[in-house]
Amino acid sequence: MTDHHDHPRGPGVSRRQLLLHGAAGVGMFAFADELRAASLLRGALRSGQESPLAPRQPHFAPRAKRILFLFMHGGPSQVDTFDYKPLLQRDHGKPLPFAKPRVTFAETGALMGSPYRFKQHGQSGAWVSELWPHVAACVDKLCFLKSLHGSNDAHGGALLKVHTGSDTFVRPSIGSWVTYGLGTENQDLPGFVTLCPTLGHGGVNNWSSAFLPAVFQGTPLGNASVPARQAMVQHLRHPDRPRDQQRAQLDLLAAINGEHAAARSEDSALPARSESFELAFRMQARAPEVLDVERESAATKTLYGLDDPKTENFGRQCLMARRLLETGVRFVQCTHSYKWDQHGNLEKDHRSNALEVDRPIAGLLTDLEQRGLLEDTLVWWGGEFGRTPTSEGGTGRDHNPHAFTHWLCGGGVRQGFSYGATDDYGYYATHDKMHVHDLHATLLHLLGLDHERLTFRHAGRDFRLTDVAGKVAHAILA
Amino acid sequence: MVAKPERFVAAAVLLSSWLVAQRADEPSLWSFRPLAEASPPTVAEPAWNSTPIDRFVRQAQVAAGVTPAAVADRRTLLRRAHFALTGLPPTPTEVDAFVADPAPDAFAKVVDRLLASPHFGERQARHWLDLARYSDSNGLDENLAFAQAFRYRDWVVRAFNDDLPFDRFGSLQIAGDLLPADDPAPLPDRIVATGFLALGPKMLAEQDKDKLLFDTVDEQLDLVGRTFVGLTIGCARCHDHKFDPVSQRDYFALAGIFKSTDTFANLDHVSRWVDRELATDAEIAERKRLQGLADAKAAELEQTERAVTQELRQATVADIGRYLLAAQAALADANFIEAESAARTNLRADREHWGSPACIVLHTHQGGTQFAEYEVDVAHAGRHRLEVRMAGKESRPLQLSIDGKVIADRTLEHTTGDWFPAQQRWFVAAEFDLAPGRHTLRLQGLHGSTPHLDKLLLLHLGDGSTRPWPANSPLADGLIAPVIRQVADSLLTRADAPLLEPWQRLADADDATFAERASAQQGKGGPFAVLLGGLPPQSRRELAARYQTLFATAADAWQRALAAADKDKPPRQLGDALLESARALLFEPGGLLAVQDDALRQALPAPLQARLHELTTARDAAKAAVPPQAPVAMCVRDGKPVDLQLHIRGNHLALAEVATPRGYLAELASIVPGPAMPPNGSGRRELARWLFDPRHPLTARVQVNRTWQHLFGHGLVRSPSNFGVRGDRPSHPELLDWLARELIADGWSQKRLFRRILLSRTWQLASSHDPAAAAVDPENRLLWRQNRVRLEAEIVRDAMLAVAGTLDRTVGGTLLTVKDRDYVTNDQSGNGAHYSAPRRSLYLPVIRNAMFDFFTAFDFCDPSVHIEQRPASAVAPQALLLLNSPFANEQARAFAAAAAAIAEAGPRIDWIWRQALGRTPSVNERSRIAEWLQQARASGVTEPWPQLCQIALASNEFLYID
Repeated sequence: MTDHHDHPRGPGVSRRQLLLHGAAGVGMFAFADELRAASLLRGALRSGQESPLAPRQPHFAPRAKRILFLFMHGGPSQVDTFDYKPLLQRDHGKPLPFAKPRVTFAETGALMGSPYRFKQHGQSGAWVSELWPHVAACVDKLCFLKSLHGSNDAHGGALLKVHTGSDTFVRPSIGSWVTYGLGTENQDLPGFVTLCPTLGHGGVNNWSSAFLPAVFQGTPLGNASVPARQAMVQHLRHPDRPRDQQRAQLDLLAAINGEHAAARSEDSALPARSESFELAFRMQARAPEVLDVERESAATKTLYGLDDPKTENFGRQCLMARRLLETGVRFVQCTHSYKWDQHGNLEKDHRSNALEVDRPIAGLLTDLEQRGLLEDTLVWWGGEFGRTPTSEGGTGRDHNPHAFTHWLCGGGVRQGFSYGATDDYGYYATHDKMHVHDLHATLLHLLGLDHERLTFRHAGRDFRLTDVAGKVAHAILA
Repeated sequence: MVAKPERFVAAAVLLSSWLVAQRADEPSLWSFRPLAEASPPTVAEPAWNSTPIDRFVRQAQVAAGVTPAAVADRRTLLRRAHFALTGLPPTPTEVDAFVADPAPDAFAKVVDRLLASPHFGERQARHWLDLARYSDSNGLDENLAFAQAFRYRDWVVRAFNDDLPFDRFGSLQIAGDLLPADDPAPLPDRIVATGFLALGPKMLAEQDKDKLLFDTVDEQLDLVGRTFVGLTIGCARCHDHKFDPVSQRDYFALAGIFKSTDTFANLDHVSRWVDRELATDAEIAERKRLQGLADAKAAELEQTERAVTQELRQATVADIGRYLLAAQAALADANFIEAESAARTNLRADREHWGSPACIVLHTHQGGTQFAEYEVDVAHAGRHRLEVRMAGKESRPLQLSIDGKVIADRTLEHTTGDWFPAQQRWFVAAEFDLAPGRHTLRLQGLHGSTPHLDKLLLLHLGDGSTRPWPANSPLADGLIAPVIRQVADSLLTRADAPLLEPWQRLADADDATFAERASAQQGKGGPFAVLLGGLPPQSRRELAARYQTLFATAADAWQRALAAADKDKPPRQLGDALLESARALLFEPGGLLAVQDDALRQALPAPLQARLHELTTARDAAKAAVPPQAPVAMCVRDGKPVDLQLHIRGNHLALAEVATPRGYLAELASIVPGPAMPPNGSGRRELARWLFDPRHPLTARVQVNRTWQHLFGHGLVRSPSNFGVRGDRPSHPELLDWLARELIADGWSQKRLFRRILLSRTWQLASSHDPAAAAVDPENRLLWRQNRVRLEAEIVRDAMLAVAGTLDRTVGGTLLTVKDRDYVTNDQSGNGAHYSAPRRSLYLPVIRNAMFDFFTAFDFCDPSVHIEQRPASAVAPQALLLLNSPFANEQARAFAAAAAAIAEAGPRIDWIWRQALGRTPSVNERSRIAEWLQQARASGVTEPWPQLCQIALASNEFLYID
């Protein structure tokens, strides 16, 4: 793990690296080159006032400029949604004809056929279960990844795996890596936003920057216990102080800080901090504007399902996400929180879960396409793992990290395409297997980032999102 | 071409290390070399010749041609010392005193005062807790509360305040539990200290338990390596270290020590971490012995009680006919008052929501005083008792008054489990004397709500010469009063039980018409046929006898069924429908014989009562003799000693054939040999001895460098937890070694190290800029000035509280309200921790996965991992917090409220500035502020002074220390 890393040395130090390391504070620097790099950074900051979140060039031409993760927390069942298994239907009630994994989360019994009808849709003829009437109409835009597999069969570990690549250690979230690599296009808003995320199963570690500089951590708007209509940047507004008063207050603060800084003119941290108050002041005006979906037309709101209490919450998340992406936010995540964990009562509960997200997601894809945003926006759908084709307690399915389905849409992926396959019953990924590391490598690739070159020096070595693994699935590129 | 000076400094540092590293007989890594014995050089300027630190520092400056800054002014110096040692700002009085002190040792006195402050330990502990990845919750997958973790945190505070020698401080954390019994540290401290190893984040729901165990070992090993010796040993889990002299074999030699240590008490679905009572094994054994005695006494009492109660119960079954007769008589004589029959009330009667046909009386939801008044007629003078039948899921006490006089200020506060009729029970409201005639009873809700009321019963207790109701009829002779009461109650509440129907139908029949009326009911079938069939009963007494036969048969059958059944699967009911209905009517809750054991036992003869009393006394005495359980702490303990097989490529399922004996890093151990690994222990004690061997080249170096880092913003080695090849090289290698030697020579006293550094001229330099020096050494590695630092998250908050006058300076204890091992965060309920206490930030909960927003915004890094140095960002969320958060605004208001004691604007502004920044405003500032205040007043600004105070607390000068 040495020779293929892109680590800045001596004269080859890139400006991007300097900026990134500078934001971490000098304490992060591990050796002399980096120490010198920090002093160069000071110069850069003094002259250009460039922020670590300023947009940066990727490693190569990107297919997507921004990314939206629609995270289905709990583990949607692949064999009840997009991975149709006729043999599972035929052999309902029979034992699994091959071995179950060494470690399982719960005990399961015989095979259980899907309670839903599957049909082929679109030109591509993709099989989709009756759970997704609206998404089914979009299959010709989707690229299914049917051979995903991870390594952890408990929610916490699996969430961390999908979000950070590690179910063992605290590591930066993929959103942090992406904003670290690319910066963001709108300096009045955070670069990485996660809407109504769960505080369980890893919580903040799923959007934390870990050892990356703190500016790259995700900004949560609300959390899973807060309805989307209340999700907002924390402390965005003073509870009762009018804007003009706050402006006058900031002017006095700036004057006092100015006098303080004048005697310390070499120190770039002081003006940077004064500037952060100005950014905060701009953000106070900008963020509510961007997040205010009431500015949308009635037709758009209906498209996202805001007219139905069942779809309103996730629809609102999707619409907020589109507005954020449109204004240049680099990485957005929507979470359909901890609903998909059907150890029992799968037929009824998977149905109501899908009902809550099907129309909003289809509406989102349609809207993105109509606005021309789908060209360079990557939409990524999936959960932390799949479910077993074998039955748990007769009406449910257990966790299954050995095979699950995600799909991608837009941002330079093949349309109406399906990649990888599972065995006859959907228990194990078998063809074109795609580990979570491979998925991450592919997502970074689509954004123009080489997962082996996107590294950060910490605790004596260079870390990356994909650890020492990760293969780009070139077959899915358009 | 002449090299630029800055390159020269960096190159010189690199070159000297490289040259050293290349000497054939020397260790491969600079930090593995023994501590050098350099004596401090002499320098020309007398001002720089007084402390060894200054002499080392000045010599390097002279060599590079750098001129240092002047010594900082006293105000700056005091502010810097206060924040560095205690993390709290000096008061204006302290500033004035120091500025005016002419004594040559004025600053030494300040340093000694601050080192003796209890806040010294709080400030330094927080630095240590960063290394120890201290948290009050597990984080990762299952975010359970570490409600006992605070004991470790408080111990660290005490250790710094007591100046516990650093070698002892470290040894206790690695192996406190294994130290001999005569170790000077008290046992609780020795156990609590090992919390250091236990506090890591663990994947508790990981079902691959081998992986869980090994990931935990890895986490501990990495922590110990980075914290104490500045080596990233974790890198060698999968292969030999790429840069440092640490082989995979070394890794597994050390990992074996932690694998031989237990961190988990069990490996259930959600694994359980180890904790332990803070007592010696002997104390625990003695407590268990005494607990055993107490349990035996309790069992003896319980057995005796059970036996006599059993006998009483059988007797009541045998007499159930007589009980029915006595209860019927009592009912005819009872003075029930239905709760809904109040003469005046604002309560409402509800027949719909709580199960018909019961009528419940309860409060309205309009708030205000809730009450009900009843008019009752009393026949006999004397003692009376009011009983109330009610249900309550929560306690809703009532006040009872009679004729306007309060009889019981707070009564009927009982709970019964739920609100429904099935949970209704009788409770005594009060006993009191009444004269004959009409009286008004008033029940009133104390807190605006009431229990669910059903009935009231006013009993005449008489003067003791007669038996009170319900045992006042001749039919009650020889019967147990509480049983009569229960049977009567059952006859009322179970009136709809089919089996009781024949009895109820004939309740008002007299002996003359009894047979005739009974025979008229015979044809109704079911219980009627059984109880009234054949020759009809001639009297109530005869009917009671038939009931008695039926009930006795049912009770017998039940006894037999219980005796025959498997102990694990006791029967739920009888097979025969009639007998089952009789059994249920007797024994189920609310049934005829559902009398509490203790009520029943009131009927026991005196000798038996005395025996029970004796046993109760003995049990209570034995229970009182058991000492209370000591507090519990998270810790580790020795497990089964094992040597590990290498994991090929780090995979715990692919093991090498031969085990690696437990031991130390081979190359270091060739310099400092460690004690042999014990066959019967984990080896943690030996590891601690090796780490704190005075010959160990790394331990003291790493620690003095950390102290230096906290006092200068950067260490002499700027990668404080990485002294390996890819870490930084020391800017002043000889100074580093000299400090390390002095630390050891001082008996590892940390306070002496602090004193030594603070009293140096180097530390006291101003932070002022010098372009010439900066051109040579832009990073200030030569220490030509002091570094300006931004306060850490906790210190920003503490300083705000201190200046606003709202800080609670209590030392120690926990603010976590969540129970140990409960979930602190989950998907739907958000964060169960609270951050509103005005205590020092050190004591606020540190919740992994859901950090306090103030902490996160100001760069308190993820507490799941060892933090060697905090970043100091300047980002918009900090500004939003300081401008808009309730916390910032509350502090600004409190600050302004205190300032309001000064009436005149000018002096008030001065006071605010002196509190916040330790100085009066400049002329310029003063006029700007005055102008701003004037405009604010003119434009009707609502809170000009709080706004001004907020500006002081948000200013750069408040947050950055020169």
